[in-house]
Amino acid sequence: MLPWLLAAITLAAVALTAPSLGRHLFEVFDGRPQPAWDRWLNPIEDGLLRWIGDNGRSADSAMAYLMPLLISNTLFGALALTLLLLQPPWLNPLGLGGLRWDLALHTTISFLTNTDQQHLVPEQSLGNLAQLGAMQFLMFVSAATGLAVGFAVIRGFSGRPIGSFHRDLLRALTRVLIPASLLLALFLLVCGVPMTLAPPLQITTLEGGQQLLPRGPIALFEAIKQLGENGGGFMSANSAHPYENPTLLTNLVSTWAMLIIPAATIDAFGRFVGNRRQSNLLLALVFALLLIGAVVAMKAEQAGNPMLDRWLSGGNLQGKELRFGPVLSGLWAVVTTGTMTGAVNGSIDAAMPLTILTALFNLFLQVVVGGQGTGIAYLLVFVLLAVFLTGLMVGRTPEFLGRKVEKPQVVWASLILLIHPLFVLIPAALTLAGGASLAGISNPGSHGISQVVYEYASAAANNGSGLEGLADSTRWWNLTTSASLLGGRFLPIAALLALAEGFRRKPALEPSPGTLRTDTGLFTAVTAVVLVILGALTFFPVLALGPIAEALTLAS
Amino acid sequence: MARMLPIRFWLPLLIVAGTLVVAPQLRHGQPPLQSHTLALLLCGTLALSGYLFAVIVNPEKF
Amino acid sequence: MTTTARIQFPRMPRGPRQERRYTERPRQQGLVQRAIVESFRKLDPRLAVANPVMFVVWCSTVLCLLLTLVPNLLDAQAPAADRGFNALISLTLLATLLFANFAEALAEGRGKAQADALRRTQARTQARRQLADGSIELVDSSTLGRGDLVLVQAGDVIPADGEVIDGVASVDESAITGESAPVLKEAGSDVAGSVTGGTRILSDQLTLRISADPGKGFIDRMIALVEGAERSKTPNEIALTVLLAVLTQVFLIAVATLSPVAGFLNQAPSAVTLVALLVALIPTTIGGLLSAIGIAGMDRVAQFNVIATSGRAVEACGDVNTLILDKTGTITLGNRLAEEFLPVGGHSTTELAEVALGASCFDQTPEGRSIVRLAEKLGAVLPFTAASASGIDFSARTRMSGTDTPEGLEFRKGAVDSIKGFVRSRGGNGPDELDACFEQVSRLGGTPLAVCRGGEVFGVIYLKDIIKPGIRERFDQLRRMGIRTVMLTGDNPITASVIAREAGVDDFIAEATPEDKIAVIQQEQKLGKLVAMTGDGSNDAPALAQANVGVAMNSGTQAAKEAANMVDLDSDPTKLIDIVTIGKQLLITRGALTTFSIANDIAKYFAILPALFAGAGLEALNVMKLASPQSAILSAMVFNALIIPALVPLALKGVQFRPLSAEQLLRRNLLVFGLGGVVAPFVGIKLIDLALGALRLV
Repeated sequence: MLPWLLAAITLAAVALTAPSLGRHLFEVFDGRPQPAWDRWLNPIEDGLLRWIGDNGRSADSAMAYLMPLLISNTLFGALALTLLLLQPPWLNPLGLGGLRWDLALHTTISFLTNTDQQHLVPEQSLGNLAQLGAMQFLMFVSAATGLAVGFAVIRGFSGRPIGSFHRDLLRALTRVLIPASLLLALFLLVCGVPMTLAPPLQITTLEGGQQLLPRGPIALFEAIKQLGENGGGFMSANSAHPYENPTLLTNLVSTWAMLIIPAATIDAFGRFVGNRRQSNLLLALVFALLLIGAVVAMKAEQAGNPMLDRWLSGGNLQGKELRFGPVLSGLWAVVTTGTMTGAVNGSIDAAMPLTILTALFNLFLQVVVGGQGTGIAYLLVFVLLAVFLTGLMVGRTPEFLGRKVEKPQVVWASLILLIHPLFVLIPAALTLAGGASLAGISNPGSHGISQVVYEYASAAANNGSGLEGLADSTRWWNLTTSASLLGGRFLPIAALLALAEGFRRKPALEPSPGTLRTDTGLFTAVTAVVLVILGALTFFPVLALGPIAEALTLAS
Repeated sequence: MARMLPIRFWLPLLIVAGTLVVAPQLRHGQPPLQSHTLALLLCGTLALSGYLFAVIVNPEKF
Repeated sequence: MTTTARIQFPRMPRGPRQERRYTERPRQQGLVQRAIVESFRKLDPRLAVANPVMFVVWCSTVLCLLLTLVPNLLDAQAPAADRGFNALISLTLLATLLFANFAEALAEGRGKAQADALRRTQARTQARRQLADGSIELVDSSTLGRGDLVLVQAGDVIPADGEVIDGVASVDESAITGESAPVLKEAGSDVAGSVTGGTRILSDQLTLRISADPGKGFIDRMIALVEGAERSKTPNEIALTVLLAVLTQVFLIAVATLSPVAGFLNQAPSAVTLVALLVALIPTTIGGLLSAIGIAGMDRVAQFNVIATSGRAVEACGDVNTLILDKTGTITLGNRLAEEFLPVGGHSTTELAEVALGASCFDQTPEGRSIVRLAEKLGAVLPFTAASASGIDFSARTRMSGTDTPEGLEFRKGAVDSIKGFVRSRGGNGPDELDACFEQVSRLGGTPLAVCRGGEVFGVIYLKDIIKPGIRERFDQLRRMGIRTVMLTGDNPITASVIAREAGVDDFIAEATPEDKIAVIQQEQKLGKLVAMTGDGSNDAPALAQANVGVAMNSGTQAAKEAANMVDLDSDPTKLIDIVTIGKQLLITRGALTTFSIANDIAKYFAILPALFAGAGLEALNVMKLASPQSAILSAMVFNALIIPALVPLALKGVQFRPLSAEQLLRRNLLVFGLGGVVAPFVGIKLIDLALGALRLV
C-alpha cells in the first residue's frame, strides 16, 4: 500500500506546485517585471546579449528565431564533440582516452537534443571534464533551448511576437534551470548524493578483492538531469545507482522533478492566453493519460509475471532496484517516458510487457505531460488538429484561441505528425530487415521487435531510455539513431516555430456562441481521442506485434 | 534542365533505375522475377510517398 | 432543448418559391446511368491522380489485380490457391474506386443539369454592335466584349449584362425574376439602369454598354462552379486535403514497414493482405466523397436561385458573425401603408385627409398610393385640379414631397422635422401637438409623416410597417448560432427601436445613410467579425465589396452586382439567412464525414490485425469473433467499399442543419458521426462476415 501512497503523494505534489512555477515561468517569458530577480540578472543578461551582438528584439519571422537556435546549438555540439573526441588529461583521474568517432557523435547529438540516449558506460568512458564540460553543459543548454522553443510557440499561439531566441535561452538558464538545479542539487547533497572531483575510491570488498568505486560531481548533474528532462546518468545504472538516487525520498523528489517543469509550462500557457480554465483542462487531460498509464504499469509490475507466480510472489522483481520495488519503478517508467526524461530507476527491458506498452505509447504521443518546452508545443499541435477535425462539425471554419485554423497550420501540424513514422518506423524496419546480426537484438520474437522500435522511438521522441538488452554501441545503431535524434528534434522545432509565427499573424476573431469553445470538458475529451487516434493508432500494428503480442502470450 | 523534362518522363526512369539497384539486395533465395518485382514495388511505394508529400506541401495543385 | 431543436427554418417567408423560379427544374432522368458510365471513365489514372486518397486505392487495385493474375509475382513460394482471395480483394478495391467515382459523377451530373437549366436562359442571339463611327454591325452575342456599345430594339433579347446609356424602354425580366410585369429601364438611374442578358425588351430601344466579357457574366461563372469542371478548391477543402494526404502518407509508411517487422517473427503477411490493411486504414470514405460534397454544396446554392461567384464565398457564409440587413423588404414587408390620420392644431381628420391627398396625388410610391386610398376612403376630394398642378418629387436632401398648385398653394408631406423646417421657412409654426403625435406614432413602430399646406401644419399620417411573419423566429435561431443581426433603416430612432424590438434584431442603425453601411461593416470587421450584407443600389457597391459576403439583388444595379460575391436572382434579401445555412451545412457535412471516416479505423484494426498475424498470438484481439482471417480481411474491405455509396445521399443532401449553439452541435454531431463511426463498422463488419460465411465465399 505504501508505494501507491507515495505515488499519489508525488502526483499531488506536482499538482500543488505547478501553478506557482507556472506563474514564475509566465513572468520570465512574458518579460514581466520581477524586481527581486531583475536587479541581479538584468545586467548580466543584457551584458551577455550585447556581447554576442544581439539587440534582444523579438524575431519577426520563424526563420529569425530558428537561425540563432541552429547556430548556437551547432556551436554547443561542436564544443562537446571536441571534448569527447579528445578527452584531455585535465580532471580525468583515470586518464580515459577519446571516444570512437561514431560513439562520440551519437553521444553529443543525443545530449544536444535533450535526449541523453547513452550507448556507452559513462563512468568507464568519460572523465570529469567530459562529464561537466560536455554532458552537463549540453544538459543545461538543450533544456534551455527546449524551453525557449516552447515559449516561442506559446507566444505565437497567444498572438504575441515569438520573441528572441538568445534572450529566451539566457532567461531559461538564469531564471529557471540554474537556480532550480542548484536548489535541487543542494537537497540531493543533503540526502547523500556525492558532489566531488575526487578520483574513484579504491575499496576492499568483503571478499577481500579490490574495487574502484566511481564518484564525481553527481548532485548538480542529477538535478539538471531530472529537471531538464535530460535523463542521461552520470552512472550507467542511472537512477538505480545509490549515488544518483540514494533513498525513497530522493526517488520521490526525482519523480516530482521530472514532472514539474512540463506541468508548469502548461499552466503558464493558460496565463499567456488569459484562460486558466483552458490550461487546467489540458493539465487534467495529460495527467489523466499519465494516471491511466501509471496505474496500468504499476498494476502490471505489482502482479508480476503470471508464469512465475507459482515460485515467486511480490511482483515483477527482475531488473528492479529493491529499494524502490516494482510499483514505484512502474510509476517511474511511465513518468520518465511521458516527460521525455529517459532516466531509469530500474530496467525497462525487464519490465512487464504492459509497462513497455505504456512506455512506448508515451513515446509516440510525446505529450503525456511532455518534454521540456516541446511537450506543450506538441500538445498545442494536437489540440489544433482536434479543432480542425471536429471544428468543421459546428459549421464554421475551425478556430483555436480566436484564430482560424487553415491550410498553413494544417500543413505544419501534418509535417510534425510525419516525423515519427519517418524516424521510427522506417529505421526500425530497415534494422529488422537486416536481421538479428545487424540489430544486436538479445531476444527473439516479439520482445526483439519491442527493443528495436523502442530504441528509435526513444531517439526520435528525444527521450533517451532504452530496452537495454540491445547491443546498441555499434556504428549502425550510433549513426541511425543519430539521424532519428536530429530528425526528431530540429525538424519539429522548425515546423513548430513556423506554425506559431504563421498563427500569430492571422487576424484575431471575437468569439461568439457559434464558435467552438476549446475550454470545455467535451472538447478536452475529443482532444484525448484525437491524440490517441492520430498519435498512436499509426503504431498500433508494431505495438500489436511487440508488447501486445508479448502480453497476450504471457496472459494465455 | 529538370524543369524542362516533364515528370512523366523522368519518374518512370527513376523507378526503373531504383528497381535495378535495389533488386539484388532483395534476393533472399528468390528467383530474379520476384526480386525485381519486389524492388519495383518498393520503388513504386517510394514514388507514391513522394507524390503524397507533394500533395501535403502543395495541395492547390491537386 | 428538444422543442427548440425541432424548429425548422421556414423555407420561404414570402411565398411559395416554386411559383417564382425562373429556371425550369433540372432534368433528373438519366442522371444515374450517366454517372455510372462516368465512374468507369474516371478510372483513367490521369484523372485519378487528382485525389490523393483514391489514387493510393487505385495503385493498390492495380497491384492486387496483378497478384490475381500471377499470385507468385512477389513471393515464389506463394500458393496459387491465393488467386481466389486475391481476386475477391481486387474486386472490392475496384468497387471502392467505382463507388467514389460514382459519388463524384453523380454530383457533377446534378450540377451539369443545373448548369444546363441556367444556360438555357442565355440562348445565343444576334446583337447590333455600335461602332465608333456610329454605324451598326450585326454580330453574334458571344463575341461581345466588355465596353462594347449595343443597340437593342423592341422584341430583341438583350445579349449580355450591361448598363443603359441611352433611351427608355420597358423590359420583360420574367425570364430571370419571375415577375410578369415589365420593368422600365432608363439611363442614369440606379436600379433601372442595368439590364441582364437573357431578358427581352418589349418597347422602344436602348443603347447599352456591355459590362462583362463573354463567359464572365454571373451566370457563366455559376455554370462553371456547379458543373464542377473548373472548380477550384475552397480553403477548407484544401486544408482537409492536406490532412487526408498526411494520414494516407502515415498509414502508407506504417503498412510498408510492417512487412520486415513481421518478417522478424516469420509472420510476414502477403502483399494483398497488407494492401487490404492500407486501404482499410486510409480515409477512403471522406476521400471518396470530398469533391462530391463540395459540388453538391454549390448545387444547393444554385437551387436557391443564388449565383455565387466562387466556392470560397459560399464557405465564408458559414463563418459569418454579423448580418447587416436593410429593414425594408427584409425585416418588414416591402411597403409601408397609411394606417391613420392624426390631425393637429384644431384641424379635423377630413381637412387633414384632403391636404394629405393633395400632397400625395403625384406620389406613385406604394406609400403615396396608400395615402391616397385612405384619404379617399375617408371621403376626401382633391382640392385642386390635378392637370394644372405640378408634383414635387421626394429627394434625400429635402426628405419630403408634395404638390404645387397654380394658385401658389404648396402641399407637402415628409419627415416631421423637415416639414417643421419648411413651415418655418414659410413663416408658420409647428404646433406643439406635432411632437406628441410624432412620438405616439413612433412608439407604435410606425413612420410618422407630417402634412402641411404652406406654413400650416395639418397633422401626421401614421404609416404602418408590417414585420414579416416568422422573421422573429429566424433571428432567434441566428442568435443561437452565434450570428448577430444589425438592422439598417432610414427611420427615426424611436421607430427603429420599436421595430428592432418587435423583429428581435440585436442592434439597429437609425437614420442610416449608405455611408453608414460601410462604417458599420468596418467597425464589425475591426472586432474580428465576418460580415454579410445585402444591397441593391449603386451606392451599396462599396459596402458590398467591403463585406465578407455581399449578396446583390438581381434587380439591383450593375455596380452592386459587380461588387458582390453573390447575386440573388429572386431579389429576396431574406435569402441571406438561407445562404448562411447552406454554408454551414457544407462545412458540417465535410467535418462529419471526416470524423466518421477516421473513427472507422478502430474497428478495422480489430478486424484485420489479428487476421494478418494469425501466428503472433493476437487471437484475443479478434473481438468480433470473425470466422477466419480471410473472411475478416474481406469483410473489412467490403464494409469499406459499401460505406461510400451508403453515404452518398448524405454527402449530396448535406447533414441536416439545426440552428443550435456550437456546443450543442458538436455534442450532437460527435454522438452521431464520432461514436457512430466507432460503432458502425464493428456491427457492419460482423454482419458482412456472417453473410460471407453463409455464402461460403471464403
